Amino acid sequence: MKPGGRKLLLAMRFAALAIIFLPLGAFVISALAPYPANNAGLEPVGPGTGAARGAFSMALHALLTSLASSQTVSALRFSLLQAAASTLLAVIIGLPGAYFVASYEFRGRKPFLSLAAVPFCLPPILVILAFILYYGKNGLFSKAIGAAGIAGAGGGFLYSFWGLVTVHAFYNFPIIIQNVGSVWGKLPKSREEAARTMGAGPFRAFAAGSLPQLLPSLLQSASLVFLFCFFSFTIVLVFGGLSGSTLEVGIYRAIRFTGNRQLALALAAVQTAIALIAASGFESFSRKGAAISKGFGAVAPRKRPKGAARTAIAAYELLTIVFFLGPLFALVVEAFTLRGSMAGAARFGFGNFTRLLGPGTPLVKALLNSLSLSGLAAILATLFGAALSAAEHYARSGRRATWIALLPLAISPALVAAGLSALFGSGGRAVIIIGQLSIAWPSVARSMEASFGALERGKNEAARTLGASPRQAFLLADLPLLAPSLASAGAFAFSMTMGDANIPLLLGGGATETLPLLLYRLTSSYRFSEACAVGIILAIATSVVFFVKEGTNEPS
Amino acid sequence: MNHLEVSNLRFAHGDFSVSVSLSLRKGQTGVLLGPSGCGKTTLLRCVAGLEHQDAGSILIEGKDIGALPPEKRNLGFVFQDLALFDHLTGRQNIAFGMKLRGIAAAESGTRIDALAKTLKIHGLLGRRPYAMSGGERQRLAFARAVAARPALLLMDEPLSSLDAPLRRELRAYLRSSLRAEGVTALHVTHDVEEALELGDAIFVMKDGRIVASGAPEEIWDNPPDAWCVGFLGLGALLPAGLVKDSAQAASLKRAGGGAKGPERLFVPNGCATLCGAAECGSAQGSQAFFRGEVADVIFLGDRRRTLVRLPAGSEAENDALSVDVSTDVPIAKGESVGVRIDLSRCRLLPANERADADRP
Repeated sequence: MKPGGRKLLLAMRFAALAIIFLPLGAFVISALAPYPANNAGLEPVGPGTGAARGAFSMALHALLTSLASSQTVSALRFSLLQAAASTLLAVIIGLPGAYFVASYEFRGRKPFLSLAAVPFCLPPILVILAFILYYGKNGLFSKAIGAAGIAGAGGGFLYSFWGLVTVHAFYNFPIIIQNVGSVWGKLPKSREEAARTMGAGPFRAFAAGSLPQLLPSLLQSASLVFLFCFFSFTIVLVFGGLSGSTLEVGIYRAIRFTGNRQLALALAAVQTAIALIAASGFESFSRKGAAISKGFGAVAPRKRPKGAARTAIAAYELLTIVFFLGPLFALVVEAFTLRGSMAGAARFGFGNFTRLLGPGTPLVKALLNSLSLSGLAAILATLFGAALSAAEHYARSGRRATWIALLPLAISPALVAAGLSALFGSGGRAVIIIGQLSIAWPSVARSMEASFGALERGKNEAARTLGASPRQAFLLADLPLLAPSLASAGAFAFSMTMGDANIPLLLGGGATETLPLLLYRLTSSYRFSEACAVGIILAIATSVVFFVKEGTNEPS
Repeated sequence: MNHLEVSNLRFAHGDFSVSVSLSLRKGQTGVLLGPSGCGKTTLLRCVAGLEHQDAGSILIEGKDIGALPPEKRNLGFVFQDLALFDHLTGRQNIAFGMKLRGIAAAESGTRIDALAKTLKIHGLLGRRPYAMSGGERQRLAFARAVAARPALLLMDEPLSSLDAPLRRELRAYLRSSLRAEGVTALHVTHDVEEALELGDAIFVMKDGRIVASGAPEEIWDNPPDAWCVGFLGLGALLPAGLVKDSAQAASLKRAGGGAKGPERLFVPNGCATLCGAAECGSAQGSQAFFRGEVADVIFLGDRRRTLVRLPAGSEAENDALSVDVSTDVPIAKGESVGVRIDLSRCRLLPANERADADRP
């Protein structure tokens, strides 16, 4: 490796670690800063004084007490339980789908695979709205089963532990379909067939021949879903109800409402410890999965389903439409429903949209804010994430530091936001962009790392032997192959930042209205129809990822 | 002056090392032949500049290119997986190197058309590589590598992934194209037949070293050791003590002027014939007669290959001699037979380790 490449790699790693740890460090300092013990955080006392040392040890004591407090223990238990149950349910719902898309060629297969983008495209706040409108007391589904004379679970279910688990599972099961299904489809049948020829029945043959090869990708997807659910914030805030509070919600409340930064730090430390285990599991399963799938040969053609398989697929599709797409349908219906006066009936129209253009509902401003802030944050995140992956790839330094892009998965976003606020203050557009950049770059780096890993080294070398300099070889041989995934990663970054309500909420200081914030505000004031209209606009903007992904797919 | 001169090149990676010197004259095709993992590809990559040697020099037309980056070496490289650019058409793939080396578009167009016509891919130039067959892709990769008239063409087992008939067909293409282009080439393979068909000079490699080199005929006539005989399939290796007659034993030629250590009797293919049992054990000039036992009989269409174990009763599989007989000769497994060997063509070779495990 050339010294220049090594220097660049070290600089990129340092920058990534700085983005991760600077806000974290700022928060830790603010939590343990020498404040007077009886002072609720007004003025720091001078460093080096006896009062400062006493205050620091009191803050440290408060932190240690918080670590062992019943609040932390119960939040940990609830976080683990809901994340584990949600993951298990997502796997149970997703596995049949993964099998169907891997084994059969049926009508609706492609839209099925596209569902995987839903969790990334639709912001949680929009999904919450959709679930309330569909499964809530006056929701479409509840009304429909009521009309059919079936006693429904009622809207109360949504706000219970199992309601939360169900929402999480529905939000995440497409990830299982996509990830496990794609590996299952490429799995060579020869091992399973070998087991059959040696006397194993279909299940035994599957367990011996295919399951060991499928397991890493299943565990990889499950650990990703676990992490998403473990860190789930908005959904828990709304649906967790009285059943409990997760660590992330606890951190948010401790920072925002009680000002107890030591408790926030204690909760975050516990959360990070658990998340690091899940993230390292994710990393390890990803590596194993990649190593296994390298040995896969040609993909066997998928069969057309017949008999029982056809019925099972049709039933699965129907259930998905009713339970998964139903809430999204309810959202669209609500957006175009104009509530009548006391005497008049509801009718359909664009009124909810046009009303948003009036005074007091700054839709255009929110849209422009969202586009400019998220656009810039996504561009920066894409450039930074891709540059880090490129430095890791071309430096060929032996062991790659893939863990750097995984670290943010284990760190509380609320803590990062509070740290950024301590560093840069809140209310400015720049700090929102930095905050969104810090949440989006790791996903770009992870997906680009996979794309760089899939590059055939031979093509770059072929270009070099044909007279291309390293820069030309990158531009002419590698970049055309990377361009689709780069565009796709950029679009995902844009979707993430566009749909994110937390950073503008925590760092915007209420001064910068964005689409998710407008949606949040309208939902809070029970203006559901207009909130849905905003949601539709937001969904269209975030769904750009679909079009970019489809448009850049290279025929092969 | 040699066109390519590789002197004392050394490359080490962990436990494995390559240490090689070789040379080629202009227009010659050299073949690096050896079992998997012997360092052939590493050597090729060092010459291309894709790996950097620890020591030694690489000269092309007297100019040391050993420190130059790959793009400055003026080489063509046909990769094992061909490494074609799927985002470019066939024409763009061939034009790639010429454009980078500053060849004018008009000249490049003429060259592409001429090459495509010779290689019979002129109807495919508008297609992307993934829409071509294996043979077409291989020819496209060859055209791309030679288009800019490189000073040296390097080929890393480009035919290994093809099925046998196509491999034979493309071998013939490659041979005629190399001659037509007049390009100096270094070709890597583990296929002996391919090495014989393409190579003006063959370099047999083992464990990172060249153990035999020269024109194919020279290597066939004078294999340096038992390993080479086994790897190249040149004949049988029998116990050196098989020849009991002292005069005959003394007349046997020894490789390397009498190497020390254990030796094997190398019996080249075609030196042995079946004979009557009455002559067994006798000696007659350079002819020796032995009693053996038929270990196996293989039908080959126009003849039958008889594997005879010498001496009769020997358990060592390595001591089997292959004798081709006409299909009308009645012979069966387990039968006791007489074998006549022309010792004037046999030699004693250093035994080395057994070569069977390395045989491709």
